[in-house]
Amino acid sequence: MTTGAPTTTGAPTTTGAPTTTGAPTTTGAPVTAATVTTPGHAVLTARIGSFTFHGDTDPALRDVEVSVPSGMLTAVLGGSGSGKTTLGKLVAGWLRPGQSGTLAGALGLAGELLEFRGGPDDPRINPAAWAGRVGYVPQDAAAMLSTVRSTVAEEIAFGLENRGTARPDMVREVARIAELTGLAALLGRDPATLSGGELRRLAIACAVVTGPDVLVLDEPLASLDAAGVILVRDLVSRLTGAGTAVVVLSQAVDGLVRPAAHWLLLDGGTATAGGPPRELIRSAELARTGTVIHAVTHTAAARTVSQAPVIQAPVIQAPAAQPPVVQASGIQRQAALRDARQEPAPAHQPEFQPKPQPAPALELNSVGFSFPPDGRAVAEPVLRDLSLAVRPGEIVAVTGRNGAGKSTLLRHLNGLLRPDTGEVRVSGTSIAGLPAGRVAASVGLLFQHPRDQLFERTVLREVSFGLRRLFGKEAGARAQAALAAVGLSADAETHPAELPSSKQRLLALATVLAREPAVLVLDEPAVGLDRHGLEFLHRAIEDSAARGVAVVLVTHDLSYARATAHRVLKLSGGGLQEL
Amino acid sequence: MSQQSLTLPATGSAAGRTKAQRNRRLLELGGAAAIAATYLFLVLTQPADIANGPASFPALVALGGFLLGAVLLIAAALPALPTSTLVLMPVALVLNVVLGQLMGTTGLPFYVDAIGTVLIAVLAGPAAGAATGALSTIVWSFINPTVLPFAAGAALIGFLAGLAARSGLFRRFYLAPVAGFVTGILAGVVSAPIAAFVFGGTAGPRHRSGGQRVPRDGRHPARRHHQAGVDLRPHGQGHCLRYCRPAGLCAAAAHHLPVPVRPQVPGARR
Amino acid sequence: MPSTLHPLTSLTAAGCAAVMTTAAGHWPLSVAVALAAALLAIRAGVGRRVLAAAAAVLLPLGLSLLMLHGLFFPEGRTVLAAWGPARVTVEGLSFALEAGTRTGACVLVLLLFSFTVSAPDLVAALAARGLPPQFGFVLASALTLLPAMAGRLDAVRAAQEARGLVVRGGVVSRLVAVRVQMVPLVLGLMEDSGNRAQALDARGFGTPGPTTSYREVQDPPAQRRFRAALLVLAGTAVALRLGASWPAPGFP
Repeated sequence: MTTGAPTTTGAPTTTGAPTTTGAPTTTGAPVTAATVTTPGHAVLTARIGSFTFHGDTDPALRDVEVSVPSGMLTAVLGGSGSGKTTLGKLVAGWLRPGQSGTLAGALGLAGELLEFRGGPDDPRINPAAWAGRVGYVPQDAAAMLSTVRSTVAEEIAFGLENRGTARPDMVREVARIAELTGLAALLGRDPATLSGGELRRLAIACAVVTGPDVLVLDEPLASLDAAGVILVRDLVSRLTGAGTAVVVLSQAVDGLVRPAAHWLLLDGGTATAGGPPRELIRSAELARTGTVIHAVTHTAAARTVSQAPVIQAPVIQAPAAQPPVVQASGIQRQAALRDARQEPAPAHQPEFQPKPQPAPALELNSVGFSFPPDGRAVAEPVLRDLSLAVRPGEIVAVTGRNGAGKSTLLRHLNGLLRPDTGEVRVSGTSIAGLPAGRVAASVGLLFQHPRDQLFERTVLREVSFGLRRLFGKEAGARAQAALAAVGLSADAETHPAELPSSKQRLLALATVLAREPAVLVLDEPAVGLDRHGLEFLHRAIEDSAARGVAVVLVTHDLSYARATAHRVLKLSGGGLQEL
Repeated sequence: MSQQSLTLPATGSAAGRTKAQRNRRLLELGGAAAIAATYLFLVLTQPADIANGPASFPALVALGGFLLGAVLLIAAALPALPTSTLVLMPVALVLNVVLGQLMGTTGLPFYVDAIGTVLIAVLAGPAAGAATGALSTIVWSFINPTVLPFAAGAALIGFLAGLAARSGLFRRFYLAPVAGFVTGILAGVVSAPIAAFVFGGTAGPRHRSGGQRVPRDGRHPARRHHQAGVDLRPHGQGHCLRYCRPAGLCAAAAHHLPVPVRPQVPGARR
Repeated sequence: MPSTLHPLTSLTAAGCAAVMTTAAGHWPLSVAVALAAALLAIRAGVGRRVLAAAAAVLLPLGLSLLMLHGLFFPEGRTVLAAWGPARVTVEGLSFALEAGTRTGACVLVLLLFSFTVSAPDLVAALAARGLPPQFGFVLASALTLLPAMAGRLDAVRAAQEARGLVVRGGVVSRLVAVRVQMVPLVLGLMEDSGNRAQALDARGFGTPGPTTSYREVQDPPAQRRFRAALLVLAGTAVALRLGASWPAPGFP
């Protein structure tokens, strides 16, 4: 089973090699996940003394030991940058010792034990054969796709084609896997047109089509809506039921990893604890890892291996649904479209400006929008007669299922998209006719993919970009303050692309915060953040609201919305409803 | 599905490997020979039936010879490339097109439609560079068929950029323009007959070659066409402007890749 | 609308039409071929796209041909008009016409092929003919990446505008904008492709040994015979042209 933390003994010798009986050399025949015999014996073992990427000086992984039992769910938990992905790719043959980095340790699969010393005589892993036994699904499911197959069926078949499977077998196998993953109705679709949840299931289908004994899933629930979460969890329990060992890498204790048989906690590239969930859920090691602990919300569909302790423990204290202080007292600066150069320091605001009802910082008046028809059919309007008013200091959350038009709505707020009917007003002024780059002075929008936003050589330069024009001599201080607000002061000289994804997102947030917008718009800000990141995000939102910034955030996660916002709205059918 | 070994053989079976290598070497030589022979033929025979109409015969020779050479080079280089290089090639093709487009919309006089080719050549060597150049042209021809005859020139650019990177020319900023200049001249030399004979002596599409037509000189058409084939000056200038800059950019880019990407990108490991 | 022909049939037809037109070098034939291609394109429902793409290629080419040969054609005897060194001659114009129509016919025919062919079918057909799978991969991947990257570039631009980037008219501002957009685009692409390489290796791409194909492309015998006939025709046309031109033509 899973042992971690070789903190007591120098060299972990307890489990290691798969000493378990007759190593199953059966498999053979094209794909059946259930060929492995007794559930519970270790099919995959990894003993990693250290793994260092070529070109790096510090090891990415150190003293990690994993043993994966068949037919069971194992969870590897850790915050952003804890080494989960490196571990997952290493045991799945995506990162190969010798080619990608230097490994000192041993990998055991199906009765074969490979010893690595980091020298030229080390065995070389055959990626195709190894991955046929250990499937890996990356966090970005699109990276799994070949990009050269035009239908879902062909994409699933890609792995079989390369192995020379005869066509009749291939057709049968694709149909079976499609049934298993719930893709049977989508076999003729172009993979590029799938939704996030469908894409995730397609990636899993691609990984299990060769009938692996072990399946490693990297953040399988990231950015899925409730329906997608239930489908993926159901799929996982079906796979474990069929005898496949499933390893989930996650930075959140959610409904998927709670029922796992074993947890392994990673922190800073090393294993700090391992054991059954009920022993670890309250442990100090878990608290240190930066793992987010969700309240259980969707338990319906998942058949569980062991009993999941249901703990209602949202980590972040909600501001509750109290009305914003601002609205009651009305001591808000009329920040909005004010020129920051003339009135740079919010600290020098007049103490008290009695105003019974401050004007909304952001107003949408019966906005209607539909994408231009692309010749085939008349486009259904995405937004229909939509109105919204957000006061300074108010936090509004917009939820809705994937594809409801949430991102389209956000793009209207800073002029990236223009409404067909109606108007958008920021601080009382219509933004019609202003270029998006100008509106950005008063509306800060954080996109879902931070990578698209970052282009500088260092974190500090990234945040400082364009600040001089807004703040003059104070630019440097503002940049430092914004970095401090998201906890990146220590990384000021790092290349943004070298940050873990959680920190990249925080950096993108800092670039928006540094400009001190009157309206802060956040697209799925919590996705991919570990607990430390969530705390910084939470504080940034609270502080902004306290300063009188109007905050609009979009999220698929209703519980997060309720915990964060004063008001939760649901976008459906092109309009907003209060929840 | 037969049970494959989880590990690869330590050194590879020497006999099988050398045979495959010899076949590839033969294809490579064949491709290079086809291109060289076509070029020599065009220059030596100095086709001059221009007064009787456009040069059908040399056009066919130039088209056939250069295309055949490019295809042979692709067939030789592709199967030997590791997957990590292979996945970069579509990206390079798309960069060629998208960045070319991006530059087009800014209206700046920089030609970056070979930047992807040079990038691959710098990262993965001359063979990959040549294959990228030729393939890039073939894919591009789906949108613009007139680039097809320039496949051989594009392959040469990739090959030379790869050689220059191998010999360390891109490590010194003052050597990169030299490499770009030489590459540009040689690519111009190869492309000139195409522009002259296939497209009737005007500038090739997308400025693939500079204006190589010598203005009216009142001399014998044969001599004039001889010049049309080998007059290097205009292409040299055009091409060196075009290629030295992307080359420098790519060399810089390769050094500034973030650490987690590097192990996956061939050649970026230093 | 994808064509119902086997992709190799339409490829052979397009290639042979281009070769034969070039070999003939006769402008009425070129015009006829170009017109036929345009008509077929319109009937296939891709007329607008084919003609737009052809116009983007051919208009600049035609203009430069006219400028060069229409105005400066040293062999021109029949002068229609002259301004200093520039002389409009009948010979020059006919040369420009000849070269322009020939290129136009080839471009239209090949565009007709590329806008009607189904890329997945083409890749499957090529793989079935024993071409290395890597060739099909690069071809198909580039064709699917192209629209995806255009979308990605838009995303980068939008994300950066949201950060307050305004592209103004000046050269410096545009250069900054290009650099700023290129960095995330290129880095993102390279990172993705690194992941994709690992995924492809894991899925057995490029392993030695036979591969099979899930997609089946129908290749009726009639089309095979048609392809063979076309190849023979094109070969004959080239041979005839070679025969006519071989003894290097004397100077006029």
